[in-house]
Amino acid sequence: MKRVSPLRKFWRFLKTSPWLPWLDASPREAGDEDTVNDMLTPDVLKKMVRGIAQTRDEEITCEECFEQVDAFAEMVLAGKPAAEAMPLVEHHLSMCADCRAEFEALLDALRAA
Amino acid sequence: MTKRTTEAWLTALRGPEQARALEELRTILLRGLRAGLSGRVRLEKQDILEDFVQEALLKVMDHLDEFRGESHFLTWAHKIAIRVAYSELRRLRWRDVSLQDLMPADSEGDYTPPALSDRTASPEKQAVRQEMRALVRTLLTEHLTERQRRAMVAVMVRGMPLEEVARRMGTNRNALYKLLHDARKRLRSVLHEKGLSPQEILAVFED
Repeated sequence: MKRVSPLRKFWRFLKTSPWLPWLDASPREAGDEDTVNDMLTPDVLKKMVRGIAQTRDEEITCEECFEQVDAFAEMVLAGKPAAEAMPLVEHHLSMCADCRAEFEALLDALRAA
Repeated sequence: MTKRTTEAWLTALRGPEQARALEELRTILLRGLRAGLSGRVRLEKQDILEDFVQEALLKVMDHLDEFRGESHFLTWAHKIAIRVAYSELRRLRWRDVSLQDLMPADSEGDYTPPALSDRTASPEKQAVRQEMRALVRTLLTEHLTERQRRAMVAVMVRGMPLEEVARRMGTNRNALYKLLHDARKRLRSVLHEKGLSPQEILAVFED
């Protein structure tokens, strides 16, 4: 296992202390070079590269997805080819975990109706 | 389920039947939320769902004029209730987690330190993997802006929701998605310049 220096341990402790939330605004943040180094496990790396592989020039945003996702969900539940009819929504749902979670919950809510 | 048409719902919610229609809608949305969230999120107390529905009803009424009829009215209302619930649940779930505390969660069970996972790989493969790992690190540290890097690490590593990362970075989910999209496009074009495809890198990490 990798050794963590006492200074870093102390820093992590500071950063997770609930009474010191202001530290979150400090310049040293997730994404710093050595933090990045710690994080590039094979799984993270694959996830990142897959994300790059699936990137398209034109993608819709979360808001644009939200506007259309109700119609998309109805098509899915009606067994219609939603992905073909609304490819940008389909792609956004494959890239955005937030929107995907809400979409899946919506399907279940509609199924229960 | 109520068999009102979309048109009937809109008329009821705008007319003298409003109070009764709202009560019906409350029941329907509550049932929908229970079904939509069960098995996905752990609720500390069930009555929090009633608070979500209450807030959703206010939103539905506020935005009634923006409903464009591209789905059934109830589908649209469920979508709003789910958004309300998820936004608040995400905030509660992540409120005590620092952005700095981003090592992959143990509970996911798929985190193996790189050195351990590589013991079975041949020395050649290990060397190539090390090289690719260094390359990806360079991509992140040298070709992205500070904000792009922070966002990408928070979302990709810990699986922190975009909404929560956005809140901490003083932006919104929509803008954060754009930031990440730009970051991915940038990395794709750097790889292209280096004559590498993402698929080639992935192949190096497949067993």
